Amino acid sequence: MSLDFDALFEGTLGGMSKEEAIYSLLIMAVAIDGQQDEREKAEFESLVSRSTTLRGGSADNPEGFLAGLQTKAEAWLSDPIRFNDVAMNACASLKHEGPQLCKSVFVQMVDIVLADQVLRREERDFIEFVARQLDMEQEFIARTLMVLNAKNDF
Amino acid sequence: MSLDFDALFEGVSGGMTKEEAVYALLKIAMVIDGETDAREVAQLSAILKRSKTLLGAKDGAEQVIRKVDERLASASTPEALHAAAKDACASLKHEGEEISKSVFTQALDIMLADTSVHPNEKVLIQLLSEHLAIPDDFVRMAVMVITSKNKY
Repeated sequence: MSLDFDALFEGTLGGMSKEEAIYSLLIMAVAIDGQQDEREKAEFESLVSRSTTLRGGSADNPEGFLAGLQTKAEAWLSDPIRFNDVAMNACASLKHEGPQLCKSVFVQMVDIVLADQVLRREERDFIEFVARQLDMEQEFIARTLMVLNAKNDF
Repeated sequence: MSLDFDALFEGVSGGMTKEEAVYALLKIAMVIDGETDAREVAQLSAILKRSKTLLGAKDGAEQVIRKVDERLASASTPEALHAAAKDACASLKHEGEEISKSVFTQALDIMLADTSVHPNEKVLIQLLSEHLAIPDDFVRMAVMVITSKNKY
């Protein structure tokens, strides 16, 4: 029987797969304010539906692949202690994939958070935390916020 | 008999309402490459669900969508769509720079949702930036951020 290396490193900092790390950060962006806002959910679903990475690349069963990610996320989404650990782990895992992917996911996250046109304290803290963990440059953060604030203003 | 002002101003550049202009530009952004890409459809749908402007339309967003869709149905070539876009830009420009920047970024997000930029989309992006008078710095910044968003 071959080892399941994903399971073996579960919980180890940086041990998430790329897909799990992205999915975790995006779903956190929806859930962090404690509200199920339809506009945030719509942006999340739109991003998931078009992401080749999240649909498992050339996976035979992309819906099954996504359902697996969702099931894993449900285990920690409502647990504040695990939530923070997962956020740190997801960032550490994503950083292995390089700065371009980190930037992309950061922008996607901010777009979800701003979709309801309200930036709550916990959302701001979450953006700051992820930006720090992913080593985002100040200038990139400022540009992202400026463009996405404009986008979501009307 | 009261005048039908919508009919009276039809064909006049800038004669669309703010809501019609916003929806027209987003719809044109989706169809300008000649393909109905599921990722672009999903992005348009996500934006429509949160658009304060469209959701606040006096007669409801559905009426705006129906009216603009009917109008765009006869625009079957990229040239006709670009002409309709110019008309919508003329209407939207009256509403100020902030809403123009917002719709420009939303349209860009739709066009880049399929991760590639079609030549017709490039023409449309240039047309929108010129006719909505979007500052060059903002255009550069928006293209960089939205390209990054849609890369993976």
